[in-house]
Amino acid sequence: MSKSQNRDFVITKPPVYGLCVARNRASLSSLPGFERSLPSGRQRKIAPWLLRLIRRTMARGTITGRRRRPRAARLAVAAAVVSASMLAAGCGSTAGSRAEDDGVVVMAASSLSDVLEAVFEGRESVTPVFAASSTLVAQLAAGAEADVLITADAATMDRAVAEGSVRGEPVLIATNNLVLATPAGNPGGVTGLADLSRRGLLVGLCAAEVPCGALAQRALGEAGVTPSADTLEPNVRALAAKISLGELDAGLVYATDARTAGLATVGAPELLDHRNGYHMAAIADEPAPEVQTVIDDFTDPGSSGAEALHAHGFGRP
Amino acid sequence: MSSPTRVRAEAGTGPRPAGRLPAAVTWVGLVALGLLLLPVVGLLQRAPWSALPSILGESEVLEALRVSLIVSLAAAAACIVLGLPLALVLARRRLRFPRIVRAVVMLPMVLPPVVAGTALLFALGRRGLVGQRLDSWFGVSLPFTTAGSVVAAAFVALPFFVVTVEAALRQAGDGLDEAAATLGAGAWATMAHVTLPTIRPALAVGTALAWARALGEFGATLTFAGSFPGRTRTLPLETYLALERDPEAAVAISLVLMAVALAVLVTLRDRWMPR
Repeated sequence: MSKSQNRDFVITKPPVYGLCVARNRASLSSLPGFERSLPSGRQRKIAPWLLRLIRRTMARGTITGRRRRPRAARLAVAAAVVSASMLAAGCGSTAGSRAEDDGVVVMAASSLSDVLEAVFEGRESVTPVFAASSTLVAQLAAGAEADVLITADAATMDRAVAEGSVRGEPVLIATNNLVLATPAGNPGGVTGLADLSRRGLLVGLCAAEVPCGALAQRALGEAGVTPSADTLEPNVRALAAKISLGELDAGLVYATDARTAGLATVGAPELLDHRNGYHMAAIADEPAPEVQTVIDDFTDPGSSGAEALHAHGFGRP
Repeated sequence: MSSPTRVRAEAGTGPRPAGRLPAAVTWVGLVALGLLLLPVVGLLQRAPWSALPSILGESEVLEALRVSLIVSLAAAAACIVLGLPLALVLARRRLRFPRIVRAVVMLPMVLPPVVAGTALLFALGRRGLVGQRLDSWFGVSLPFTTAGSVVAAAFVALPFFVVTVEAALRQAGDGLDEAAATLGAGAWATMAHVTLPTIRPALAVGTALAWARALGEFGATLTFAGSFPGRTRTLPLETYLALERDPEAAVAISLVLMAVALAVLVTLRDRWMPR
């Protein structure tokens, strides 16, 4: 694989976490017989030379034909398959040459997924990526390419700044708080925070490594409750899902996630004293104008992003 | 031991047939090998060798190691107890819809583990199809327990055992079983003294594969059994969390997982697989 072919590949996340995305590529679905099997989309595009190779071998009847294939064609198919998998597996070689059609890549905490998807809907020029804030920071440290980072608390943003992954100035754009959530109907009969230490009640929290877990630890510590947790989930969405399935009787999730997942909440005023702040920052110290536009849309009071956050239940900064 | 195993093994170690392999195939094969090897090299060059003893001595890691060993060994045992009869049925009985049955057996191999975990929740969770009966009749609830981790690991590992053993049974054929029967051996005696000894290497390999799969299991365990230190947090789950807290620790734990798996696979290959 020559350097010129490599240059157009870029990672949005490091290989550990997700897929490599090739840009400026032709789509497999333009091949006869592949139209329906591969809906067109950025993620399924392949290199034009590879497409040509496959097309040529198909013309000889090697993929769809029944007749006995010439040996050279068989080898070509094997080579095409192998190189395709190599490309998919090994496209971690690039230096800041992202193509236009991916637009602004926004890495955001998972608790923001609904609101950001709503804000960015229909905007081709923005690609949001969601995971636990700490996961995102680890991905940036590992060389993931992005333009904007939004974390669910100040501590993770500070870490990204300290590691040198983020060079822009972080701005507080919204706040959130934890609530005591139960499945609809509250089958466990939860009445307050103290119930979290009750044996026999299935209790879930976020792991202390992620912001919602750190916040829960702090709030519970201050309230003097020692929870008898049954699981410590790696992100808040996974926790909310298990509560909504009724597999857990109670858990501490963000107010906004409880709302989205349709969970019942039990009054726990102690939790209101502990708020987390969502911080947003550009990755580069001098962001491109289109990146700055995306940021301004959240940092300027009254802008559409800021209003959407408020409408989804987030607190104003 | 003068069993047929010996004879077959010796036949397999004879000189290789002098077939010619196209050069391109060899090269592509080497590329594939490189692809498998590269991540290992990446891990090794980032390994914090000097800090290794202290990281691996941390209580969380030891606890995760203990949970991992319990869960993977129990899952492997479950695979033998449940998988051996299934493999025998698949290989020896005439089934009504053999293709469909085989596809069902292979299903956990292709199912994304997270989906497998969710499916297990729907089946065996507290609100699940069977799980709610377990809960109301016996007061047993599998999710978020070590037993739940074992169920999840066994679910994804079972096909590895069944497929290996079934293939060996088919290859061995049932001629010896019939011979034993004509000499007056009963069904149990035939199984214990003829069928199983014949496929002993495959039993070991199948068990090792199932155990290795259970040891590395992540998605189904996390989804079905959650993650709690000392109860359900296995080494892969600990690695995932450590990656965010302390990447060096994650590398160290991965090294342990890899070393254990390699040691077992290499040993077994030498001992049981005809080369």
